[in-house]
Amino acid sequence: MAYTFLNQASFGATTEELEAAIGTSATDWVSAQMAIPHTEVLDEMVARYAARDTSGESLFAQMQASWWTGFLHGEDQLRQRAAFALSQIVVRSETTNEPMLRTIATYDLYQRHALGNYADFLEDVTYSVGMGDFLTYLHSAKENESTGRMPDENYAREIMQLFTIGLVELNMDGTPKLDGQGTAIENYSNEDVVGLARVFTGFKPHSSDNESTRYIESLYKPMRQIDSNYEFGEKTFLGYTIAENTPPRDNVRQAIDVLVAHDSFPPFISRQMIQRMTQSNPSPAYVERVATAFANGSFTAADGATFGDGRRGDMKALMAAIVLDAQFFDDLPPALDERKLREPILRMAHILRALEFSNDDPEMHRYVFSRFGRRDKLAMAPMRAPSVFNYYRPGHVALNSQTGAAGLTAPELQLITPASIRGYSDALVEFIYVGMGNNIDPERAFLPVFSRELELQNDPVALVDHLDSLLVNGALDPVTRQRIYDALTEMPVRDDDRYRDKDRLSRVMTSIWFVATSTDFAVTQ
Amino acid sequence: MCQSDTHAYALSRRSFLKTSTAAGFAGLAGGLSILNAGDAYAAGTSGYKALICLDLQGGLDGMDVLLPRDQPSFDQLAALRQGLFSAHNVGSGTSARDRENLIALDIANGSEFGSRQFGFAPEMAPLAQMFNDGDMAVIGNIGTLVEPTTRESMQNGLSTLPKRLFSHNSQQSIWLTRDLEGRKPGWGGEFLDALSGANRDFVGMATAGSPFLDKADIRRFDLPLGSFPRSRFEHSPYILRSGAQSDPLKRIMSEHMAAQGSRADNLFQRDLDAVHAKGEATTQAFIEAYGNLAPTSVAFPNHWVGEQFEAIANAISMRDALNVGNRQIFYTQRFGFDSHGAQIGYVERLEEIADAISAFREAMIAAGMWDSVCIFTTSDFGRTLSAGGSGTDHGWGSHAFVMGGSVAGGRIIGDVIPADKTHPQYTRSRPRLIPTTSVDQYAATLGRWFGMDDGALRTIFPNLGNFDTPDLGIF
Repeated sequence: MAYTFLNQASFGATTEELEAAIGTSATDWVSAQMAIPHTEVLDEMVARYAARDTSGESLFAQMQASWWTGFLHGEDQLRQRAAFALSQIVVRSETTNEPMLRTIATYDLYQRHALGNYADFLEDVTYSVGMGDFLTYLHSAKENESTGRMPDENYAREIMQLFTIGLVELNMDGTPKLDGQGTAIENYSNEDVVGLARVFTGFKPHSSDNESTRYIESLYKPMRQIDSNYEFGEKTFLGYTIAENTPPRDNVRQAIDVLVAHDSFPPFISRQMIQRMTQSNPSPAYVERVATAFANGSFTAADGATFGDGRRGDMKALMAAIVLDAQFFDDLPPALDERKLREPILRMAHILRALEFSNDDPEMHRYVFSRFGRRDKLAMAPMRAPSVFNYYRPGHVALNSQTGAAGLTAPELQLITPASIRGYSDALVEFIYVGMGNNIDPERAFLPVFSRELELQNDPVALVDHLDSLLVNGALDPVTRQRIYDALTEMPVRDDDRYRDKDRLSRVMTSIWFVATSTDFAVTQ
Repeated sequence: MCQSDTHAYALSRRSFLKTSTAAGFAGLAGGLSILNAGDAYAAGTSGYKALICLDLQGGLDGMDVLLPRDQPSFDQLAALRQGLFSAHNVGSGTSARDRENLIALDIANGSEFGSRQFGFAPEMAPLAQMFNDGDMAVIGNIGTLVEPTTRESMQNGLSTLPKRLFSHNSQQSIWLTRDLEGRKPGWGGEFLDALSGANRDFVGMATAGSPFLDKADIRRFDLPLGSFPRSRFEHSPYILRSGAQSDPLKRIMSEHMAAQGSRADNLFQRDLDAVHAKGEATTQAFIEAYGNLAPTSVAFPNHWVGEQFEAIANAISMRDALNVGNRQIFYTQRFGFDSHGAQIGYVERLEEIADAISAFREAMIAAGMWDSVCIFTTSDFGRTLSAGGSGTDHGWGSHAFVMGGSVAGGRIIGDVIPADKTHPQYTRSRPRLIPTTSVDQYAATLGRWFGMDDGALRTIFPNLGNFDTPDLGIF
């Protein structure tokens, strides 16, 4: 249970952490997590940008490093999981050659609001120039009859379809409501999109009075809305009307409040957050428990601990409801479909956290992590999804599969191809066998140490037992176990001072590789 | 299709095959003799054929690709696209959208369009040549449709509309799988399922993710650009230290990547195991076949589209080594057409596509395969007629392009609606083109060339019967 809890609520636990957790209270852990203040990196990045100091690596690399530093070393693990999950739902992706400061500003929003309130998050996102650029409503203006220009509909469509209520009306358990003919009911029509698009008008980049900083501030400060482009007329969408002459900021806030107040909002967001955290195909009952907490803004654990401030959309309530759900504390094994297929970033982070690496210098992370999102490695990087539709669709049911035949959603299967399986293995090998940053600065390189495992390398059974309980909760398939024994037989330690230590280490590395590439490791146990 | 349409813009006929009677579809199967349904497989697959889907992601503005060249039509479009044309610097003499710079298309059925003339922009030069050589047909005003639809029939609620118009993922899904996401297999998969032989590992190949080719035991093969890179272990075997030369160790690790046990208690792992197993087997077969490829002198352009088409050309050369059989479908794509702003970016993207297809054609001709392949474009939707700013919003009807040696090219098949907001084939708001050719008709025509029989096509495309012509006469 400690294993399951810690691996669902964080990016992975070491043996020490697992042992220390036993006997402690999960609710205490969550409470402590929620008290940790968040970190924002924008100021530092702006300073580096202004000083033209990228230390040989791009701002993109630095931003990837910020994510991974958080995953691997952040004390606020629950926040990091939540922020990473949010970045896959309210997607803002760096996919073009545009100013990286916009992307970094969005990173801070995920960090700031991951344990805050979803409506506040959406408001900040709406005013972020990164999102204005990504979903093309920056410069969107009110209707102009003579040129035929109309407000851009992109953000209006996606904020409904992807960020708040989804395509169809949902019950609190995440299942679609059905009409008399058994068909799902559309949440919005094209008229609603047109009406809502009128809300997102008038946005322009921030314009500082200080001419020397105007350009750089326009890259990252919240957008403004200018009266000449803003639609002051009435706006009607989803049966609600914003009165004419409503000031721009109030009008955005009202629109967000309408979307968050919608019945579909809690289950739509809750189900996806559950998918990112604990289960690829959550049960309706689980979704309903979480959605209810999200809607009420409050979650009470079985031991009476409470989370959330009571405002609809409270992220603390949401995250607590997800990881503290009673099903994870009943000591029963998960059912056939109650698993999460972990995306490559989660798997890699688990390895990097659970095992011992040296010289984990955040400055070195810039060199290390920016390359791993490539298609021939993890094929996935934070804030680099191919589009606003993320790397996979929450409703993905794989064709010609056992999960598909059982009607289970398995979004992460969309990302898994023969090429990605090879790429993941290669990325692992770089860390487990080779280490990173040797050729940049050996003193500060990110190198495998694996001291605990080295102590066991001469006893394959003990070594595999250890890796089994550390990485897969004791569920390692016997076939895989035997393969590790057979592999170790082929890798003797040579009795030669030049080779002995490295031979030992390589036996450990290989054992880790087998477990880390096993399907037992890919799926939550 | 507009019935008793006395509007001044009476639409041209969509196909010289006009109203097929019961004599029906004889002679439409691209030169193959028609056999009984039971023999459809055997006859349909004589001689290799490949369909290549080029999916232009984001919603291709067909009106910015097939451009009006006669002055009145050009001025009509320019008036509605001031923002876009000004971004192009139209009038400068060197603009990619200056009327004088457009490359004239020599349209065999030009009389259907009266005095209107058409051209491609300079970046599309190789494709203009291809059109004029008769190897490309333009499919005019195509889009998702359930049944013939006009502005009037929409307003009167008389037409059933496709679901979730203007939504990227939903429309992409309807284009390629006939329904919303996850509901049906792709029609590429349907064709392969009907016409493939026993070895199904490589019949559907994709250079990017899409459900287009998946159905039953047809699972798309993810075609790498080049070969699969060597694994880190192969690259640096010394990391295995004393095991570096051990063949048993290699075998154990390879088996581990291929199969890891039955996992009776976990459906996610079972599926993952299946991907591992299929992956390992197909990867090895591909690497070997790729290693035996004869070198080619054709130089493909050095960008993603070029690389994808090169990979497809190579794969076609490898078809015997991979035991593909006579039918194959490829899926490839280029993103970047969702031009809400900065639509001048089309120039670069279209140039890439033109250059890539041009090189591909050269490679196919050298291999004697140009008549056996057919490239066809798909896209989420078209875009809005007016462009007050530098871009356009989501639309509906657009144009598609079909290329190959078997294409009866040099024609525009279907309608090109003039750039006039009052025309009844535009929606009232925005305005957006309402298609007059359906994706089903398009796909069925491609399928028929590919070897599908009529009954099978009507099952796969149940709405086909709602349209006058089940075959557009592309080939």
